[in-house]
Amino acid sequence: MQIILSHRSGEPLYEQIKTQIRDAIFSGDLAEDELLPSVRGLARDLKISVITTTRAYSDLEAEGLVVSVQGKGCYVLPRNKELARENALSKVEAGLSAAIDAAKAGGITAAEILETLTLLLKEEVL
Amino acid sequence: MTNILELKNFSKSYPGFSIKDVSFTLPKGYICGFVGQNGAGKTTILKSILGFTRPDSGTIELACCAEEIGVVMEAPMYVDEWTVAEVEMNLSPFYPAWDCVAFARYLEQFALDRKKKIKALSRGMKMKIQLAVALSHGAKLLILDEPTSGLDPLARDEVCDLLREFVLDESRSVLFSSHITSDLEKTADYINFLIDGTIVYAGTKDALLEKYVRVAGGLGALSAEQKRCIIGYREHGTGFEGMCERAHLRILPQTLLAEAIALDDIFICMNKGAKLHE
Amino acid sequence: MNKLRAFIRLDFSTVKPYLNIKTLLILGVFTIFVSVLNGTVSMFLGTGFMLGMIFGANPFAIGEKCSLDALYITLGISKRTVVLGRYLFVLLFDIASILFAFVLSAFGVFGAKALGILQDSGGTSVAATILIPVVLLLMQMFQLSRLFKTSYSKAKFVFVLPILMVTASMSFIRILANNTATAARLSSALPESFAGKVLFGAVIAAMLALAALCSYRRSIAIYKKRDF
Repeated sequence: MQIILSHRSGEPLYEQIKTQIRDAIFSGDLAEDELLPSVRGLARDLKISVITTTRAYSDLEAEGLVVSVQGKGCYVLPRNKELARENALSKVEAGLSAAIDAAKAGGITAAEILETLTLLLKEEVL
Repeated sequence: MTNILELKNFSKSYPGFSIKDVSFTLPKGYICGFVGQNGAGKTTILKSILGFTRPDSGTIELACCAEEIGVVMEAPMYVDEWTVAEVEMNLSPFYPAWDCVAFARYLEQFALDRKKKIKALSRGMKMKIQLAVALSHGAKLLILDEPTSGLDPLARDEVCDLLREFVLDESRSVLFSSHITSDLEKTADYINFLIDGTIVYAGTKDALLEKYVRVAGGLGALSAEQKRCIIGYREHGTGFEGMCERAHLRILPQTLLAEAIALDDIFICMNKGAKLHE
Repeated sequence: MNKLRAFIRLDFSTVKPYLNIKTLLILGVFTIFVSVLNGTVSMFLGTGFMLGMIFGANPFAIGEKCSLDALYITLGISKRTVVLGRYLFVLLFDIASILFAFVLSAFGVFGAKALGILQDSGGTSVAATILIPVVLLLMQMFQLSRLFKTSYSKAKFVFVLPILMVTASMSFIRILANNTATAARLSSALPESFAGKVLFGAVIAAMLALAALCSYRRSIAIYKKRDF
């Protein structure tokens, strides 16, 4: 597993960690039952606060992606198809919202957006 | 989560300066950074925790004894005619858990010559010998007063790494004072912000960085009431900038630039803001 | 007990770097000079104590310069142990200084006689031999409690002056005591019998012990209140 942080993107560090671990789980880079690095070890490697890594891990646990075992660490839970779908859906939503914002700024109409979307979908095989 | 250190309503006055009602806790396994200008009271509080001086009021509770505290002060408390080897020879009898193998390892890592006298060491080396001692007697708590001031960035990074390694063991903690905000940003889990003897923030570093945003905009963009939300307001020829609480953003015009703020700028804006209220 | 012994050793390590050959040479010459000047070995008690006073203050001076009082706290040494340890260290140093002064005085005086510089044996009366160390010990007890109270630099003046006075009066006392008239009067004050002398000695010793105890208790009370 790799985690690459940007200190300049403005996105909170714990969010970046969460996103990267989440993506790694859904893409299969992180296998089921795999042990994540300890919160302290990860903090030491990334040179960030252990509170940040702890927060990322506990958020992921709340999402049902990992489970922390007392004295051992954090394990990846079996990939939940529903969660994966939800994750993908939220990414679609985010992309579409960004498109709508751009449209507003550039004076593009809703009809034009739908037309562009249909064209793009035709090109991709979904 | 047990605390290794707890200060409650600590107060101490000197002629012309006073520390008022300082309270904070340091849980085991974490690094706490003390930020403040020179003269804000950081050293006094550290000295009181170490027992060099007593508070006028309030309590200091330590969950460990003197032999379990490693100390690094601005100047080493060693006889300056001693050599590095003599420091070990003279101090180790007082530490039941003295680890000479570890001490030798740190001397090598820091490139400290055993035969050199303390008075012949540079400022950075004087700090390093103290650190070598502090890390070699089974300490549970490290207390450091400005450990990285006067060091080059590489040496500072080395010290920060050592501190993080130290707390890999969850029973140990670190408390250090600094005004080098980049080191605090890298190393601290908790931050206590001291301005003129009072704590203006005591909590996690992450929460502090999330609490405030940097705002900037054009001249005349703010009403008088909105200006009051801005901490460390600075106006210049082509606009203004400052800091405000993220919660107050909804009161401010949407056209302003609002972005994440670095610890350095929080420090500057807070101190500027404090000066205004004097 | 362990910490007390370790502290006394620490005090010794503190002054050791300053006990170099140069210093010992200067002090040795000074001791020989005083003895030859007075023509008697028995000045060794006076010079010995003086050396003890000067060096006894050394840990205070170095302690102030290098923040050693704060070091003692980080090493977990109680303030009581610091004071007791310092007193014991000073006492040990006094004994060592007296031996040092005795050896050098004897060397100096006999050497001077052999070289023909000194003619007369010029002994000292018992009174002078007793008086000088008693006075110096009392001064040292006072000096110690002052040193625990204020910083070395302030206390320095307090004892430099008496030391100078004592140095001057040492020879004066000796000459005076050797003056047959006063010597006779002083010696007549001393008890005749051996038992009497022993009692007299015991009284003096008790007086000194009391002074030392008072000084010690005062020092502890003062030191406990100090901030570093």
